[in-house]
Amino acid sequence: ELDKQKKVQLAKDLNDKERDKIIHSVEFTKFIDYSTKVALRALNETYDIITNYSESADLD
Amino acid sequence: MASLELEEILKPLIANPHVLGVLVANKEGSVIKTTLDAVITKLYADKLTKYLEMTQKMIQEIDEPDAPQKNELTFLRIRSKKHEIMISPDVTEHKYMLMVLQNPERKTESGKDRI
Repeated sequence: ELDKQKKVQLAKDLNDKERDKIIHSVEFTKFIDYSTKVALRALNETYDIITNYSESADLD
Repeated sequence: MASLELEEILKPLIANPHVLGVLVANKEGSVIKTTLDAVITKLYADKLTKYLEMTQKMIQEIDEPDAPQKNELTFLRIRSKKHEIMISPDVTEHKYMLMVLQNPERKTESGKDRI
């Protein structure tokens, strides 16, 4: 029973065939296009919410 | 889409100088694509899929029960001293997630970004 629990907790390693199947699916293609765009936009935000309050920052 | 195409799509993320790693996994935590080493990939995939699921549930649970439109998590950013973790979830099928690990320290040349 412990082994069963362990199996549930550990993610399965995909083999090349399984991975290819996912990558070729329409739903994955839609997901990766959209999520990459969102992440890129988040990454390009230059405003840093923390910077002003770091030790080295000169507060003026 | 072929493997190479996936690589092309992720390229602008991977090439960004602030980005330390990119990980694509399914909701069970099985890795589809990673630029991180094997040990870190496994650790992040495991922890983040669980964390993401929890957050998705939380957002739905705190939503008004009779809201005309159900609420849903669209993006997740976690800031720590060492990293910023950004998770872009699969908003339609809820099957996958994209994680971008970045260095939170952004040195600005002129300081003009500071307000």
